[in-house]
Amino acid sequence: MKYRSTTLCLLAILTLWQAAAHATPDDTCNGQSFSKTFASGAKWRLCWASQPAEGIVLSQIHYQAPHQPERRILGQASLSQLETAFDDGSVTPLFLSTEAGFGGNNLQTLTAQDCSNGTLHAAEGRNVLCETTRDSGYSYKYVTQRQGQLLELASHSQIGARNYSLRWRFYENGTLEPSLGLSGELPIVDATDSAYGWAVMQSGKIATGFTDHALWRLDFDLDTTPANDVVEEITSTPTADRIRKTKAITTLDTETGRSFDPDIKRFWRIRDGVLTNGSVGQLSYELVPNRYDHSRANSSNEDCLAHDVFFTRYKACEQHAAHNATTDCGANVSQFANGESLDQQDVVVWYKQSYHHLPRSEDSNRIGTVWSSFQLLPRDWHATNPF
Amino acid sequence: MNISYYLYAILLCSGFIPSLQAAEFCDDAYYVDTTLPNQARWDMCWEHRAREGVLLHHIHYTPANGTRRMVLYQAAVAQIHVPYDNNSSRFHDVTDYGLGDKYISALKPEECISGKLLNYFGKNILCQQVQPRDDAYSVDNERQQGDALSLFSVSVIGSYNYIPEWRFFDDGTIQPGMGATGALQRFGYNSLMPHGWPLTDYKVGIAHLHNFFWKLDFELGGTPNDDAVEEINYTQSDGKTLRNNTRFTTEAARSVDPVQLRSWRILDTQLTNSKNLPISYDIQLPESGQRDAGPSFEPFTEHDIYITKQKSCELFASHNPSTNGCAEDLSTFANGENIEGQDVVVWASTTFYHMPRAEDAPRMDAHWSHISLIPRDWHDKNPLSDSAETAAKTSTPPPVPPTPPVVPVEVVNTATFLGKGWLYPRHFNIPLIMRSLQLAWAAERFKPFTKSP
Repeated sequence: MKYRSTTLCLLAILTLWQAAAHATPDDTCNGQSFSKTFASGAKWRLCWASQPAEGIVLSQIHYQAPHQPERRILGQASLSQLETAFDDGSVTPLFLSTEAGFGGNNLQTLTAQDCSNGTLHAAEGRNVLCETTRDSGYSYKYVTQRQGQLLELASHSQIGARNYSLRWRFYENGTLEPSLGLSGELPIVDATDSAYGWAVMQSGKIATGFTDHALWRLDFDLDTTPANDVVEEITSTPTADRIRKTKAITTLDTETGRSFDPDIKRFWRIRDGVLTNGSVGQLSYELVPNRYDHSRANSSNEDCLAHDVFFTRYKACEQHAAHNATTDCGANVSQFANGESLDQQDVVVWYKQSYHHLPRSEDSNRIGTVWSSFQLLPRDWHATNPF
Repeated sequence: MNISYYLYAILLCSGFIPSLQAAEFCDDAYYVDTTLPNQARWDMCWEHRAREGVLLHHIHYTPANGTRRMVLYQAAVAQIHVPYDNNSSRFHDVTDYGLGDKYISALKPEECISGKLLNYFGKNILCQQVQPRDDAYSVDNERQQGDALSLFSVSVIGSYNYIPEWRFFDDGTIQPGMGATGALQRFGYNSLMPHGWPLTDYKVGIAHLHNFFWKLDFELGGTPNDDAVEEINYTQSDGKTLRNNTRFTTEAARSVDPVQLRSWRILDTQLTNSKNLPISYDIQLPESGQRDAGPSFEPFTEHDIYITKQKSCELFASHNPSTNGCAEDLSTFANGENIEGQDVVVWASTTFYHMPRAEDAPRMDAHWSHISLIPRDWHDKNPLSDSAETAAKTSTPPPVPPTPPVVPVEVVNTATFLGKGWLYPRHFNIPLIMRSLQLAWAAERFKPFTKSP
C-alpha cells in the first residue's frame, strides 16, 4: 500500500509537470517550426511536435493568402483522444490516445518509400512526419480557371493491431482539413456472435465490429489575441410549408455541447471579437463536418459522446476529450463544459467524429484505409476570394 | 482474302492491337480501359447525353490478379436540385438545362494535368486521370500507396460550373462526386439578410441547397435480375452494438439514421467469394449532415436513397418526362413494386447547403460532395496485399506498441518496457530509482489492460 502511494505521488508530480508543459495559451511554438509557401504566394506557418498521447500536435497555425496579412487561426490542434468501442461489448471502451498513445514508440519511423515525392521530417532522431505538396484540382473555374495545390503533413501510429494515420491538409485558400485514417489489421477475429461482426475469415470466424470516436481538440486563437474569440451558432429554419428558410445567428454565451441538425442546417463559426475583413465581415472559421451517418454512435451512453461538438474556455489541464487526467480537472469534455462564459474568451472547440466499421472479407489480412475528415473553412477571413 | 486482313488477324491474335481487344459494348472512341499501378483494372464505356452529360455504362472492375466482373450496367447524375432559401428559384438543373450539349465545356490540357482528354465530336469534354489516393493500407512498417482512375467533365449552368467526377479506386471502391464552382447565382439587398449572408454593403448572397442525385443501375457479375438490396441497422444498448440486416422485397424510399448507424448494400444472390459470402457493394452516404426534406410539392427530397425496379423511362430524380405513362419523380418511381428477381436500381443522393461567405465572390472556390460505393466480400481478402489472414489471437493482449526501429539511447530502459512514453518527460535523465518506481506504478496502472485487445 505504501508502495502504491509512493507511485501515486510520483504520478502527481508527473502530472503537474505535464500540466506545466501545456500551460501555453500564448505564442509559444511547441516543437519545431515549419512553413510552406506555395508558388501563388499563399503561405502556411506552424509548429509541430510529437506528444506521447496525441502523436503529432500542431500549434501556432498561421495562414497568409497572397498579398494579405498573415494571421493565426489555431493556437493548437490535435486528435485529443481516440475512443474505440467493440460491438459485442466484450471489452470496455478503450482510450487509445491516453492508454496506448499515438506518439512515443507507437509513432512509426517513415522511410523515403513511405513518403514518395515528399520530404521527411524528424523528431527525436526519427523520421516521423511526411510532407508532400499535391495538386488539389480546380481551385475555381469561372470564365478562367485555376488549379490549386495543398500541403499535406502525415504520420502513422501503430496501436495494437490497428494502424492510424493522422493527416493534415492545408489548402492554398486557407481551408484546413484534418483526417484520421484507419488501417492495420482487425483487432478481434475470433468472435462467436455474427450479430456483433461479420464472418470474414476463411475459417468462418467472425471479426468483431467496432466504432472509433475521433475526438479532436481545436484551440482557436484567431489572430494575435487568443482571449477574444466568439462562438456563433447559425441555423436556417424552414417555414411550416418548408418552402423558405430563415437564418438566425446566436452567440453561444457559455460553455456547452451542441449537435448538428440537418433540419435546421445548424453550424458554427469561431470569430474574432474585434477584427473585420475590411468589408462587412468579421474574421472567422467555420466547422464543416463529414460522416454524419454514424454520428449518434454511443453504445454506452457516455456524456462526452452525447454531442457532436463541445465549446469550452481554454484550461491548460483540459487536454483529452475523454479519459483526461483528473488532478484538479474534469475527466472529460462534458465536465469541461460547465457553464463558464465563452464570450470574448480563449475558445476551445472539441469536435467528435464517429465511424462504425463493419469488417468485410477485404479486411481479413489488411484493413483498406478508411479516411474520416472534416474541414475548417475561412468565413469572411478575407473581403473577397484572395485568388 | 486480301493479305492485309491476314496480317491484321495475326496482329490481332498476337495482341499487337490492344485497343481492339476491348470495346464489346461501344465504339473504341468511347471506351476507357485503365490498369492502375497496382494492376487493378477498370474498363467501361461512356456516352454523351444532353441531360445527364457524360453517362458511364458497362463498368467492369478487375482486381489485381482477379476476375473481371461488371459492377454497374449504367451510372449517371440524375438531378441537381437547387432551391434558394427565399424561394426565389428552385432549379432542376439536369432536366431544365442539362449537363451535356451546349452546357458541357471544352476542357483545356491545363485542366487535365497528367491526364488524357477524351472528345465528343471534336470537343474535349472528359478528362481521364490516374491519381494517387494516399495509403491503400498501412500496417506496422508495411505501407501500400493506392491510386484511382478519375473521370470528370465540367458543365456550365448559369453562373455555376458543375464538375461531375467518378473516381474508381484500385481496391474496387467507387466514389461518385460533384464539385461546384463559378460564381454565386443569386444576390439580394439587405432586406434578404434572413435568407443569406452579407458579402459587401448592400449585397447579400442568398443561401441555397444543392441536392445531388445519382442513378446507379447495378449489375453485379453482369446478370441483371439477381441483385438484392439490404439495409443495415444497429441497435445500441448496454455497451453493445447489435447488427440487423433487412433485405428489401419491394421498392423502397429510405434515409440515413445516425442513431442506427444506417447504411445499405447491394449483393449478388448467386455469386460468392471463396468464403461463401455473396459479392456485394456497400452504399454509404456519409456527407448527409445537411440533408434536406423540402416542401410537399418536392416529395423526391423526402428520402436519401430510393430502391426501384429498373424502368428505361425513369431517368431523373425529379422533372422526369411523364409521357407514355412514366412517373414524374422518385417518390412515384418507388411505388411498392416487387423487386425480387428484378433488375434493381439504386438512386442515391447527398446535399450541400451553401450559406455564402465573402470568399465566394467574385469567384467561388469549388465545394465538393460525395457518396461511397465500397466492395464487401467482392474479394477473398484485401486485393492489394498478398499477406496471410490476420491470426486469431489466443489471448487478449493490451494494445502493445511495436518495437521501434530506432530507439534513442537515453530512453531505451523505460520506453521499450512501458511503451507509454507519455508517463514521464522522456528527455529528462531520470535517476534509476525513479525509473524503478515508475515501473512499479506502471505495473499497477496497466493491470486493467490485460482484458483488452
